[in-house]
Amino acid sequence: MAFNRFFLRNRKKAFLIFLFLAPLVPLLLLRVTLPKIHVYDTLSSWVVQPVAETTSNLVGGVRVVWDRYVSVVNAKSENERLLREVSELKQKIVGFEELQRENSRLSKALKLEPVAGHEYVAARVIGQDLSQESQAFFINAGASQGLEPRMAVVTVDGVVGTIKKVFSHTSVFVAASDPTHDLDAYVSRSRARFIVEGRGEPLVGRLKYLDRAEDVMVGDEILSSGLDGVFPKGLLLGWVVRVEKPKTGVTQSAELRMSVDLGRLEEVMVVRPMAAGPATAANAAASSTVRELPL
Amino acid sequence: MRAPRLTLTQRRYLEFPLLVVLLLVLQGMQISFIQLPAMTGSVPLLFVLGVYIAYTRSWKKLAVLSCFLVLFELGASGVTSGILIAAFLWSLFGARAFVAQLALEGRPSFIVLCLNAFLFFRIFTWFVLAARGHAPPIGDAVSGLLLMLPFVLFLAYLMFPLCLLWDEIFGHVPDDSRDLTPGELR
Repeated sequence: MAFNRFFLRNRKKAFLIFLFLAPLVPLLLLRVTLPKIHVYDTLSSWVVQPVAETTSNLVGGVRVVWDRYVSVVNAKSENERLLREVSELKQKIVGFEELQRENSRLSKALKLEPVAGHEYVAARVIGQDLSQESQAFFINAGASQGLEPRMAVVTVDGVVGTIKKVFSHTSVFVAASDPTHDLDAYVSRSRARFIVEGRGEPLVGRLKYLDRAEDVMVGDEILSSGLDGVFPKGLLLGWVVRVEKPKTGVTQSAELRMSVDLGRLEEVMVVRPMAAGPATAANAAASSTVRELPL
Repeated sequence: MRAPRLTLTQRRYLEFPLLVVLLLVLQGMQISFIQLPAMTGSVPLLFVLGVYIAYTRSWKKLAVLSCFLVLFELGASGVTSGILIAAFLWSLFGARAFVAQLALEGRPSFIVLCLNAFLFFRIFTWFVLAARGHAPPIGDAVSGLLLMLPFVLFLAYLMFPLCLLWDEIFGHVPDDSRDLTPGELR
């Protein structure tokens, strides 16, 4: 009774205290895997992904046409009729050139070395995450294409990142330059092994746990070791750009420049394990298949 | 701009679905092309909307609506969920506390409140990430934050009258932020 009276008199204070303490709970549960909430997943695949993909394609097309228009407008001294004709022809050429560039990128992607027991799922980058603290990107492939978290994302230029979240028709991958991303790697020349960690800056990574005795030089090529169970062995990560060997201590530090430019990323390949089954000729032939880009 | 007249039924059943669709479409645009240069992220539409809710709604409504908004933010951000939830909610609750204490009104106060809440949000997020060893370099974080502030200012300036128009269309009267009856829970 006395407690009820006390509570009724101070319910506003109690509510405000509870409200301000409630956000502590998700912080304290950071290391706990919570059940997945599917509401946003469903809404996202119906609305967010199509909108993101449509606007991404639209903006890309408008940007190219605008560049061409400006270059035509700058040539105002020419005859108006010829200018209009040239403008129309240039717009057509722009479309063909873009198709040619896309074909060239996709052709290069098809030449990716096959990985035993894995296949590549092609996907297009449709967006980027909203925060500055994270370097994550959205792709138009998801659970319906068999993607799962912790799958490797690569291009013909090398390692891109790892799948973090999977929705029905989209996924989020975290780039190798993100501070939360680690992968096992080695120097191709001296076989020194270490962990490559993102620094939160595009194109820059840090070599962690690099033994002081290891032979690492500026210009060395860094490859994935395959020992983390995510990335196949031998994929290019980048090149060493700086080595610091302190006078004391058991480790040395180094930085690498990533081989993949995130700012120019348009298509990626996700490395997906093939479905388990008896070894057959069909399976062997399909060991390096590439799935079509989802439309 | 005159607000269109809606019936009570239309207001009751149209607002929430319309809000959800609008937020999803805006988010689709945010992740695709409303991106700031140098990979500094996107304009914080949902955050400014959350500050408006803190500015004009009671504690109870803010508690519910902020949880609703953070769900959208989680799906489009790569920051660890727990950190994002805590930073987002505490920023909004802190903004509401300021509004209650200082009895703020008008667009200029709203803009200043947005800027302060956003500063807290980003600084808190960076410090928690730094404690876990996952923060970007402080130079990048500071420069990104400085680059973002004018956009937050512009967004707050732009969104305030639009949110007021939304409230007018759907018949919401801003709750009085003053604590007229001490101890009363609103």
